[in-house]
Amino acid sequence: MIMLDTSILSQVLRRNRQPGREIEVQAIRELIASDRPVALPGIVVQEMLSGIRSSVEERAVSTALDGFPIHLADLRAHREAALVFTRCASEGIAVTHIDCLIAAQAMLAGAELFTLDSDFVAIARLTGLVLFEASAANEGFEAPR
Amino acid sequence: MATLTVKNLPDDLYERLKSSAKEKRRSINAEAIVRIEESLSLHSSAADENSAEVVPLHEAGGDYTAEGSAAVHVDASLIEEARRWSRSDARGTLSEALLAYVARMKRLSLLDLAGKIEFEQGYDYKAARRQR
Repeated sequence: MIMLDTSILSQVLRRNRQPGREIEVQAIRELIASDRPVALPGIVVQEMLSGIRSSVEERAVSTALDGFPIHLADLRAHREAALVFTRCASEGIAVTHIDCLIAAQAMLAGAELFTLDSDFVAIARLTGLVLFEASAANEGFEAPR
Repeated sequence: MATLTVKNLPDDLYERLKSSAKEKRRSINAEAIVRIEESLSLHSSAADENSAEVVPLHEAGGDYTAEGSAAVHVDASLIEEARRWSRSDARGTLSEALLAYVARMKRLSLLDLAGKIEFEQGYDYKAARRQR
């Protein structure tokens, strides 16, 4: 299973994308179109629906996200997130509680996390978090010119 | 009345019949008669010979309006194939299939929204994470 972070979903959906992320955006297209198991943490849904200017667009995004399995954090996830935070802090790495929760949810689900956020690279180095490589989804795919 | 003995009934089919009878609180014999009756009457009224099984939509979902209560004709072999993967009866299987279809179409609709969503200026989810 692949769990999506807000960083990648936001990059896919937003009108003003950061340049240089075409491979990752294409990877999302491939994952969804080929029905690969993709899930979202509940907090990612909340973040994605925050700050959308138009209510029409907000409803459309909400409907689209409804189609994915949503992982709501339980006590186990919060406990695991706390361990992630402590582990990072012990190495002098500052991470946010939400990053820790998303990492914990991915680990507990046995999922790879698809993110563009380098903070998760640090978390992965210190914990069992596995990051998804966009190039894996694009194998056999010819990028548009 | 006639007595019908059915030979070589597959075990899983018998178990499904038994389970359905229990669910409806009737005997296996009564359940078999109802099922045969349903099947024969549906076959005779089916407009399309290929559409062997009729499932009333309002019973499939239990939440349909009068407009949505018309019966639909579904290929019986398709229903039977789908039931191999389901623990439900035909109606439940149809509901599961429709739910899966709707979920897939919703996921695909995300791709249509790619590059089109405008966020409030200054909205930065990562900055918000750091503030909490």
